[in-house]
Amino acid sequence: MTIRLVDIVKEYPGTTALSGVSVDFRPGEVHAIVGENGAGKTTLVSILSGANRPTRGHIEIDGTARSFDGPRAALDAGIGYVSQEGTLVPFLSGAENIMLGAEPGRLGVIDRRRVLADAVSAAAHFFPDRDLDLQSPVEDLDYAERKVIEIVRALRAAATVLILDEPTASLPAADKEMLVRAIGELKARGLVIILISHFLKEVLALSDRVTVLRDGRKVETSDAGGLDEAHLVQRMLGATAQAFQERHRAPVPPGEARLAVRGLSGAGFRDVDFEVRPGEIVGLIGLSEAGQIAFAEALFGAGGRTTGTIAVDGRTVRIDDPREARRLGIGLVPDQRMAKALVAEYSIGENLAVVNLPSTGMGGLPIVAGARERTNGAAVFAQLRIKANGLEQAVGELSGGNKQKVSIGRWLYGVDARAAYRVLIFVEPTEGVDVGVKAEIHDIILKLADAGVAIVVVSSDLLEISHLCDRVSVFCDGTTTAALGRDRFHEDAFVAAMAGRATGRMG
Amino acid sequence: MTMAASESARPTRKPRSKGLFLRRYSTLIVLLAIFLAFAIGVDRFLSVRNLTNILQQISILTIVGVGLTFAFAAKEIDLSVGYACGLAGLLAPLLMVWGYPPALAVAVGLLAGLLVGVFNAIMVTVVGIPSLIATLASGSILFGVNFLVSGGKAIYGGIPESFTAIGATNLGGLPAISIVMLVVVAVAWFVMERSFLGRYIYAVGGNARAAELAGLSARRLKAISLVLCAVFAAGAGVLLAARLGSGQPNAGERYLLDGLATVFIGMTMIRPGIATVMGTLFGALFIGVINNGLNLIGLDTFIQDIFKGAIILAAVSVISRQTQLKLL
Repeated sequence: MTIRLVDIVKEYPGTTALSGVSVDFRPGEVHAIVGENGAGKTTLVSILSGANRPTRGHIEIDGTARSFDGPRAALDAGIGYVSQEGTLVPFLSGAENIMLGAEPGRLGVIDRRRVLADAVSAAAHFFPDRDLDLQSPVEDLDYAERKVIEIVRALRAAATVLILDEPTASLPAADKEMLVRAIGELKARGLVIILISHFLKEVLALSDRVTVLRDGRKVETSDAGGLDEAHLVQRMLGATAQAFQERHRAPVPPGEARLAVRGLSGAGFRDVDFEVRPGEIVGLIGLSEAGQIAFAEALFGAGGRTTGTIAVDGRTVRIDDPREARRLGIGLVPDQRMAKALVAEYSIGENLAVVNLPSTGMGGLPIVAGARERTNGAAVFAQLRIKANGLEQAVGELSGGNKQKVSIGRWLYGVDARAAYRVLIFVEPTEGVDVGVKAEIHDIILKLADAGVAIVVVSSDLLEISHLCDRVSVFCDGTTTAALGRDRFHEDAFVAAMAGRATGRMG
Repeated sequence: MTMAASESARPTRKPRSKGLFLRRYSTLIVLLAIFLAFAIGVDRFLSVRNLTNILQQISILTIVGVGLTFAFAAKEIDLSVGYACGLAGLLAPLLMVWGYPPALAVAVGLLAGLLVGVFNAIMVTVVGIPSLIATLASGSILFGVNFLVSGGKAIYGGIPESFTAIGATNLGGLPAISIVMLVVVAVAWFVMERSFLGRYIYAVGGNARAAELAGLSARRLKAISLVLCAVFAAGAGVLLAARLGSGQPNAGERYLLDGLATVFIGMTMIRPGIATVMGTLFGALFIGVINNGLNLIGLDTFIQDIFKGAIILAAVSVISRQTQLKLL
């Protein structure tokens, strides 16, 4: 059975996740899809799994166009899907989860004994050496066991296609081996196996062909045989080695640290040493969940309790909550702007004002002076070139780039940023924004640094990091494993350090 | 950073499209239509006397509704308002029956509301119980307390006229109780729309995580909104006692459902999906006009309740389809 995705376009309000991607999958092949975060991998396979509907384009199975109006339809077509986030029902047992939607029974009464028997035989078939607890509620099981149960469910359901979205992330080696064997079996039966993985070595070892996505477009599909990791990374990033070395700012002269952190531990990170000087831009990179975002939020007091020391301009401080951070002149533009920064239903003006509302104060009273509110809002609106109908438009109606501008603009509202902030932290500052706005945001960050604000940038976009930063600290498994100066800015060095292979001096 | 305003990027007022106008004011148009229908079809409806009557009838309800508006703005709910209203409406007359001066009696009534609010706020923001459950439970507690306080009987006798006058006199053609209500509405409007506190409460209600990351204390602001809600309910209870001239053990209860209704109807207008003080005022007018009109026609109260329920469903269905109405 051949499956083709034809000119798939997926648009969300404000962003385009996929812009015309076509891929054909052959029976009996393992087809890997690789790309950076946000390249569109998960969106693409979620369309094939029926979880998502394309804005345009269609799915072709053996030459006939099909559209799935939900996961049920895809399951009926024999498509099994292991998604990235857990999709098990927490209070059901492993067996009930494996058989969910395919329960044996009569007249609508589930035959519980056969549910267990069928699930046990499926598990024993695909993971013969694995001792699985299929009778306890899955919420009581550990991550790996839950993942294996999810995989068994998909393997059992898969008759034509098996989609695996990051199946091996934090799976023990023995489970990985059994999964590889199971993949081999399905492959021999002529199924299409689609594999999404960040582990390029694994991709190259397992797959027959590899499709590279970048920014919602297909870069290439090629036989895995002639590929190596360096080639894939280069294609994923779309950058040349030279782009990583381009110099945009003069080096920041050595001096006192603005923010100095020693041995800081907290939820999601441990034992981190870090510093940033006035005017310097320091990047934090790492694979997802490596601790860089948790650390950045902790610098703003938003990450719960920490141990270790933080010093601002040489003075040891405690930052237990964001209010303390604000008093110290530390600001944070978070990632996931709709979840962490903005209110969709409120106007641009209201969203902008919330961080520095006192700047609108009427004669020192905690009352908003309407005129001052409008002037402050209009100033940010113009400065950041926000494209909207006016300050009264609801933020939810804006494009991703303009939403991000509002999120950043909140910190520039009503203040002279140079005087107001000692440290500004940007987490994924250009997540889901288009190229033009990206350049504008980079400009804002560079200007703030030139004005003497110490800047911390967390980004999974390595080109962005190399464009902006003077230095980079690399996170791996919750701690910093390498520090790279500009002379070492190179995709290989970044990728190697993020993967945990020590290439730089510690710290 | 420079603040050079370029001509092209200067924000302009958003042109008000017809659709937006309809979305914001459809409920108001329905209210006007109902008003006109009563005015034409019901004899005594459009008399000055009846209109001031409506204003008087909605005064207590409006104050409860405005209190609830604070809670809703912070994305919390308070199901104890009816009983908090009842408690203050019992304590104030009780103290006067015991011979204490009205000023003290009023103060104790409001203080009771403050304590209820603080209790609710602690349950929600410190203990971490969802407000729906916490205030359902505290309402049940207050229901019992109200019976303990009153012994299940009305409290009357020896209540000074200076107190009951609030509920009975007119000043410049308006009932005194309505003037109190209008002042309360004006103050609440100012707090919600013009003060930092109101802006911050709305920020927390819109996105608590974002508010925290902007340096606000979501907990503290939610707590303040719950306390204000209970204090307003208690204030309404004191006015209720003044109007009834006595303390009635069950008198506050109906203000819970009607109070919630004023907020829901209010959320369909002005800023769809968001509780506003003006919206709540119109919500109370809506209910007041319907109650009054149906009353004049001579319908039984249970028929009125059926109508009211149907109208609330109709009003809220309009908005629920357009915005994903999230209460909590």
